Amino acid sequence: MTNIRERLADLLGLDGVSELALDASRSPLPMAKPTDEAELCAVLELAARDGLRVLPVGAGSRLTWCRPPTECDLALSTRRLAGVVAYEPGDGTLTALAGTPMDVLARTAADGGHHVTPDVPRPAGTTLGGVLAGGASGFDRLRHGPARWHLLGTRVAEADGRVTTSGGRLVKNVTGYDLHRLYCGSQGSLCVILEASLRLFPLPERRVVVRRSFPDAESGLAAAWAVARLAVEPLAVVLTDRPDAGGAPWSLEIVLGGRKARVAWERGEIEAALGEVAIEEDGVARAALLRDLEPDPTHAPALHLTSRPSRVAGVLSRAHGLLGSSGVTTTSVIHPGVATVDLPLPASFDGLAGLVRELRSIDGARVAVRGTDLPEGLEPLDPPRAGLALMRRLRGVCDPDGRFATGRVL
Amino acid sequence: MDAALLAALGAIVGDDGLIGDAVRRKPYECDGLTFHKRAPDLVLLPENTEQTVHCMRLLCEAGVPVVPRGAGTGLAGGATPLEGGVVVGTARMRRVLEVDVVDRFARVEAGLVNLDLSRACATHGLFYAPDPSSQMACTIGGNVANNSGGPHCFKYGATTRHILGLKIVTPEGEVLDLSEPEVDPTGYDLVGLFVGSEGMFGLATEITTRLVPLPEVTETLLAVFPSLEACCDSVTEIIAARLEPSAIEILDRMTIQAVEASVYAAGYPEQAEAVLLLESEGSAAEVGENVADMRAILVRHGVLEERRARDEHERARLWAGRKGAFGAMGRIAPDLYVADVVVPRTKLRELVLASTRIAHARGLTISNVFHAGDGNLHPNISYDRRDADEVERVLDAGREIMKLCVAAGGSLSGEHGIGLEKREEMELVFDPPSLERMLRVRSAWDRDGRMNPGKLIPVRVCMELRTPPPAPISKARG
Repeated sequence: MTNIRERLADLLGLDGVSELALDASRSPLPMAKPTDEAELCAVLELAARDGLRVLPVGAGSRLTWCRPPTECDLALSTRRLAGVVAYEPGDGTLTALAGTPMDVLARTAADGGHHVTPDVPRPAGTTLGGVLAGGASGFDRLRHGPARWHLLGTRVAEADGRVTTSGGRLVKNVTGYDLHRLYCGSQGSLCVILEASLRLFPLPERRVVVRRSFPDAESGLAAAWAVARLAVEPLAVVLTDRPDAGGAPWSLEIVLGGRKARVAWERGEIEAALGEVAIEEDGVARAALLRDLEPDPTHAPALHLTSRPSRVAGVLSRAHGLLGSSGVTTTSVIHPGVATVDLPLPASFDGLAGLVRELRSIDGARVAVRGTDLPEGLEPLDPPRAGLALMRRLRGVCDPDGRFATGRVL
Repeated sequence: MDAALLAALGAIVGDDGLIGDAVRRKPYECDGLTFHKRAPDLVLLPENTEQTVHCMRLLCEAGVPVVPRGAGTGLAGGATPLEGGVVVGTARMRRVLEVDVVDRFARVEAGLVNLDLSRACATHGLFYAPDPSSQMACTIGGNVANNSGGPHCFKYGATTRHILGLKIVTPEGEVLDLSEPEVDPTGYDLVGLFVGSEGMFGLATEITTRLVPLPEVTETLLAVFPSLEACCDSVTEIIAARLEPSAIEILDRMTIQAVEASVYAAGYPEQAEAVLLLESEGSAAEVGENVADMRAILVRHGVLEERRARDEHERARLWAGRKGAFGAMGRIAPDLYVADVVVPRTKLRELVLASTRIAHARGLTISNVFHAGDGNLHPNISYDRRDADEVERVLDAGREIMKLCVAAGGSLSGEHGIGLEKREEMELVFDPPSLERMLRVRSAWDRDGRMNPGKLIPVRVCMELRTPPPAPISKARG
């Protein structure tokens, strides 16, 4: 490792090298921290020359979302490749370097009246490149869809240090294959994202949160269905029993955003459908609190269940039953319209592998386990439904020597 | 074609699914781009995925090129069988397999006509949002291949945002079943990558699409302008003001006059230099606020007249004019070259005017009807394909318009795709390593390069990588 560290220091200076601790079972990795594209490509050329395996990382907030690398010689951080390359308020697009924190992007766009999607939890601790490579979608997914829908183009470094592009900075563009869609969610296993362009949306003039408490999850979900049948388009609908959300015991929160007339009308529709509700007028702060309820798996594992909206109630009921019989008390953060259920788990829980196995037997549910130091043999993600051989070929043509994020995805 | 192979294919698809004679193969020699033509050696029209699989296996064993085809309404030569081979059409795969009203998705066969999907869902208060002008004829499968757009993609996004799953028959004749809608699929986003791949990765036979709720209120507004410049500027300001109409379309004077003289006559004022067709959807309050703000902008830019569609009939008539505009241009000349470029929305005016200058400098007749809200220009050049010199000038103007738009930060195609038409111009947008990357990704799907060969990737890049080169594009011929 010393040798690698010295070679990196020769390229980047002492400031350009640190280390990354992935988990307790192995030594920290040397981490290269280039400050520009040329330095980053030089690191990749070095890795290619010396046959080193590379783990691209942003802020590292999504490293636990899939398997840790099976083999890795160094981490390559894009954190210092930060900055907004172009914000075009008149065109509603934004291009930024991969290491730019998401909160910086959000503030930059907000100054021009725009909203950046995905609106990810704890944005100051995330980077644009990491969010895209991790395939993270935002709290605003119900309104705006997954992040990959609004990724307009990328500039990436390949394993041999060559830089290539796909897409562009235009809101509509079908020139060439959508390779950026392939990179989104590829967990750094195909390339290092250097720069990305996003489509922006109007910053809501007004945001309010409509809230109602329910005695149990079932009645909360039924109310969420009643809202889904209305002609309203909330930014988010969240059902949770997290104590920090203040519900008693279950709280259904509907985050409305948009022009004032729209928000007023939607609020009225929801009040008519749900009856007595509480209104949080400071919707920005409340929405941020709700957004950040998503469990942070850095210190304790968490389960992330997905299905179809119509199946959420059944999946949740079965999951709660299994958790109960495993002796686990947990809380839930449910986005019924998106069909996701997040369940934080105790830091030390011996029955995790067995619980996950049983959860994976629930019809119609997909189960992801996020966390460090997971039990040996426990796969964090369900296998792909189809296309594994094709995915391997794609990785083979994008990274012929298998240098990037080895073992993380396939 | 080998007689034994022909017989085997015929046994799979039956007499109705095999077109072998020269006269009946002729309609398959090109799509809506008529500059390049070559009849396929054979046309197959399988009825379902299973037949497609068996056909593709035989074609793979025989090493025959395959050109997928929907309705053939494409405008970039994407369905032209440049190297001969077999056209595999989806015309007999038109069923709606499932409409899930609760989870709001549909599963359909690839040959289903775009508009028929919305018709099938209308009673449930749902519709399929992407609406190309050819939506009465084009297929969902063709839309997937080209990542097609349409006027309402301004609000709802292009096809890729509406495809939740696919069942794909690979070039080797295997089924890749990605049809189950998933929140976040494990592994790579194969569906997202496939959409817009122009038939070069495989053949989609079944498609899972999103359905969206019909809006509560729709307001359609026709704004009449004394100049095309003012019309463009009003759109730029609407975008900059972050207003959210569902569609923003511009038609210039020549287009208006052609439409009004055609069966698509919509009541557009014939003396107007340009009209802006705006639509806003949502709740009554939201639509009212949006329309009021847009009208203030229109007034600032000197709008002469505003008309609001009073009922569904008037709205349909206004849209029929817009969607029939390309057909109506047949009144001006026998042939129409529909350019499709995309530009930053801050530069609409300068690039529309510059495109017009390019055409006029070559003695050509140009008109404009385009998706202004998305910066997606369609400079349309009317010509006569029997005039070889005029054809050459049309092609030259098309290339110059593409160069101009790329230089201004734009790109080659907003919705029609690259196909044959813009293949060589890909080098204006992408450097050789980027094009090589695309070619390598394609090779992961299609190892032999048999799927829709000769499209999208420039000849030079293929040659340098020693992959099978596409056939040369011949000079335009009638």
